[in-house]
Amino acid sequence: MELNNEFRVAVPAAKVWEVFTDVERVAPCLPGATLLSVDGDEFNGAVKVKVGPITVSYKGVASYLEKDAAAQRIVLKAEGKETRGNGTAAATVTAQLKDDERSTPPGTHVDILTDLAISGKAAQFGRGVLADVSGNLIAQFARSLEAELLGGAAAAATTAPTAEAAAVAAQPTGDSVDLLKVVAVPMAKRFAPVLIAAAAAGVVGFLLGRRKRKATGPAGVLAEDLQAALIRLLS
Amino acid sequence: MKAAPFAYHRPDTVADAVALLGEYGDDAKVLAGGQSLVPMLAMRLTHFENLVDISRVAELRNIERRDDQVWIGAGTPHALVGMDDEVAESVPLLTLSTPHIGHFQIRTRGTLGGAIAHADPAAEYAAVALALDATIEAASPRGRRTIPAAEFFTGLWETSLAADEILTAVSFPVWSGRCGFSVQEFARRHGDFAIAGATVAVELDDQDTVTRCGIGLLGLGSTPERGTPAEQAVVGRPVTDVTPEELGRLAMSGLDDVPADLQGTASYRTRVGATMVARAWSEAITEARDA
Amino acid sequence: MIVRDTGGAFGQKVVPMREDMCILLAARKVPSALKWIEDRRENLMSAGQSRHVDGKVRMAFDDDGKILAADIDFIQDVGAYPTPYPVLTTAAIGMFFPGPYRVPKASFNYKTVFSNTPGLHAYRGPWQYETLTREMLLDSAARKIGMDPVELRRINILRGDEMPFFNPNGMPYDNCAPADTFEQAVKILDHEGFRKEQAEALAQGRYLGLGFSAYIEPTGAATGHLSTEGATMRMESTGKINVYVNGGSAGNSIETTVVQLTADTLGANIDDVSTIQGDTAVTPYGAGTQGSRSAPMTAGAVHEAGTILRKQISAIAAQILGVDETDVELADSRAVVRTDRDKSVSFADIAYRSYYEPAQLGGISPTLEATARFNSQAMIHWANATHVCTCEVDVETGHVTLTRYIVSEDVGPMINPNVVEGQVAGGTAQGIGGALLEHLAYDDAGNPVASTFVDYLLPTATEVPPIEFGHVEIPGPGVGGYKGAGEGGAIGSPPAVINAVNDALAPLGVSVTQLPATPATIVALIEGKDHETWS
Repeated sequence: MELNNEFRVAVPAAKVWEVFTDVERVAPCLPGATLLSVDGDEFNGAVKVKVGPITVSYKGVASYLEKDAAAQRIVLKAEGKETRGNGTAAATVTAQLKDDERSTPPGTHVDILTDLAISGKAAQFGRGVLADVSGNLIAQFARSLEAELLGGAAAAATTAPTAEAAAVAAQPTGDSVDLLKVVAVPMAKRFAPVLIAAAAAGVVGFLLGRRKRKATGPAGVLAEDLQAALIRLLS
Repeated sequence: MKAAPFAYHRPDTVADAVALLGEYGDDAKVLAGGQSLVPMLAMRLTHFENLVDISRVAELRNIERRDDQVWIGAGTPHALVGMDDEVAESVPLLTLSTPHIGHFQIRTRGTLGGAIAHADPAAEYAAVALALDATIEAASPRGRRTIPAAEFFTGLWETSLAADEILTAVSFPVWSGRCGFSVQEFARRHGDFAIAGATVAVELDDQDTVTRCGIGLLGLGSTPERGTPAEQAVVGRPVTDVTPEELGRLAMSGLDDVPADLQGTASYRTRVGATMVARAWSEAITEARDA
Repeated sequence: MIVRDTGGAFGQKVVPMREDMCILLAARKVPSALKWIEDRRENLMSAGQSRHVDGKVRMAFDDDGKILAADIDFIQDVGAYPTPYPVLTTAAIGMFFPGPYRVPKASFNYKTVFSNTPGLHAYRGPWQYETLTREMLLDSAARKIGMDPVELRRINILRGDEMPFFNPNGMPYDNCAPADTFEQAVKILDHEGFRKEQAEALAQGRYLGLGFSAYIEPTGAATGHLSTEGATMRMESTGKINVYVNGGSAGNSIETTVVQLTADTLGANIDDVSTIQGDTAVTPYGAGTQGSRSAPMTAGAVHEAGTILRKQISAIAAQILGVDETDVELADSRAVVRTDRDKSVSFADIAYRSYYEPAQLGGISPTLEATARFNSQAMIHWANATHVCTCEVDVETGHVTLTRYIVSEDVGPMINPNVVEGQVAGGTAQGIGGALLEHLAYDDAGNPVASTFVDYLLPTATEVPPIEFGHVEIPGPGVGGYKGAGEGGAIGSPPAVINAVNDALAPLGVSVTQLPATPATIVALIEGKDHETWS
């Protein structure tokens, strides 16, 4: 199945490119993922996907198929097998970067197209479980990537709200609760230092993923918290 | 296939159950009627090292009228909810939706709390809880809290309950006055998961103006949904202003995640959903006007 | 090898499957007992499939509606590693396509293709695609010609006085009268009454439909190892009878019918007869239950062995009673002198004389046991039926409710009417399932998605209306005139249901041509959309 996710981030394309072509930065963005080893452009990892009480764990290999700097395009291929079961997951993720001149400071529009094939028990039911599992996975991946790009967002999570709300047209969604959860995740993964420069340049990007979580009251407030805090951090 | 081995615990009180959940955390799962959990365990779609069986916790098994609410303990089986006179009198949507839940045998073991905590998008009681703005009560090692139904369902089989939290009861508001209620659901066969369904509650004043309306939708998202655009369109207007068909369309217009699966496309489900809303609305307003 | 009643088989257990083979081979190497338990997911995903056929059918009619020619061109999916038997019989679809009608010329063409799905099984009436498509075509033609489908069939269906009739593909129909079962069905329905009800409902915006389907099928085909059947019968020292047959019971009550047949043949009380089946240590070789052969074949075997044992019993009885063998009549577990009915001796006493007082037999043989094999001379026992279905379609949801179901059948004389009706009803329920509910579906990536009964929908008591029966009993060529009854229900039913649905949808100008006719399929037709189906 094909899934589309996109987001804008106020980080120059060149910086985004750096992150995207760095295995150690990208790999942990896959939710519930653990990076096991890296070998040049190839990395071994494990992913645990959870939908309600159902959990499926995969272990596999991912590698870069394409790194076209001129076209600003990356193609990542991942293949995994279930650790408890006979299922498999295979994904080809194409990330297309485009300079976004509209925002100030200039940023990047990121388009993520995923071709995903899952086999095994999770795929053997008529009700739409698989669609939700896949959609969650990729949406969280996109969110994590975005958070990784913004770097020091975790520090912002604990600061108090201010009157300086984001100037950019905001769509605070219920995603923000998950954004906080997800921001914490890469930070917990003891990886390369935060891109302070990127953080300094940016305000919160927006996730325009196909699969939205429900907007709830408290989450909306937190989105504003986050934006305000990030602006303070970066200005 | 059978479930992988697990440790079985059977506490007698909520406090003991909560303590067990606190002790085992992610490795524990609450077992009530088992009508959703056990098949998942048997097919090994999921596994928990510890099952905490709350089916013998007496304090969870009760139906009580408390002022303008009907309080139902989480461990109360569907069959008892469906047969209860107080429920029939005060929360007719529960009585009307019960026969649609699986089969007779399933309703003898399945519990209201279990159905709502499992949060299947096609769960009848979950849609009713949304439609009536019910309140969910929960207990954890950190204490007790209440959660409005509108904030409870967060995703496919996901709720705002923490991993170490037990749903202890659901409180349903009682509607009085000139009210009408109807549940319309479409499934392939008797007892199957609904493809789409609607639970409608409506209240009219003496001039047949709609004063209140609650529309719960099932099978039309990754969670149960509320037909908010439709509700907003009718409240404050004469009951005949909006045709049932138009109301059905409006109810569908707020949905952005209608499932497509083996049973049909999203557009098919939307059509069926609109039809169920229209039919439920017709029935409910007929009852309200006769009241 | 011991094989007891399997509860249900329907063709999936006709030949030993891979897992059976593995257990058999392993059992020879492993010094302990072995057990294999298949679970439902495994069965649905890998045991076998059937009914996956796609094709085009055509018929030519003259101005009076008489059929001039018929053609079928189809592709059958045989899955992966199918067992040879059902694959080789795919040609039957083409051979039987002309059905129980007067068709002068016919042609057929087909291809079988492999696919990465479970192998083809000989599911109840494996060739029924011919009846499905022919009966749908007849209804479609009737609508085009402007004739009631009942009338179009009436003009073309074969009468008893036309037998034997060779269909254009050389099939030698005999011992049946399709027109008789057809007219009986029409009568049970009250055709005029329904058309009136239908018109009134349409005026109120409700869509009712009526569907007919007629077929003829070969039962008890005698080829190769299917053409003989053995039985051993013994009167025990108590006078009770034991009858040993291969059996192969799969829920089709061979345990009951064999006892009945034996009791009838020997003049014994039913309570005095027992049967032992399905044990290669003591029962004769047999091909088991398949191809609707059990009734004609066990009747033949029981007759062969029973005739011999009957003679043995009569000889000893005659000696005891002091009369000629020809004067002895067997009834009620007794031997009675025909000309002096007060003189009789019980089976118990006959057995006692033989087993305990053989010296007093006066030279008559004490043997009270017979083994024989029946060699069927009848290549085919033709059975036939007409099915009728009425339904209502909810055009908003696409839901189909079946309101009436009639089966008017001819399986010859019935050994046991309860058993016959049970077989027909079961087959009919399966056909209803195939028409409306059952689908071994795969997603775009090839994952089987109907892996549990949540998604593979079986018809239940709430989907199947009470079945009304009409019986016609035209004897077949075999012993007792019994014809096979196991598969017919599943053959005649899908088209009766689909024709009813299409009759209901006719005012909307659409018709279903793909099974199952799910609510989503029907709605897509009504909306004029391309229906995205899972394959």
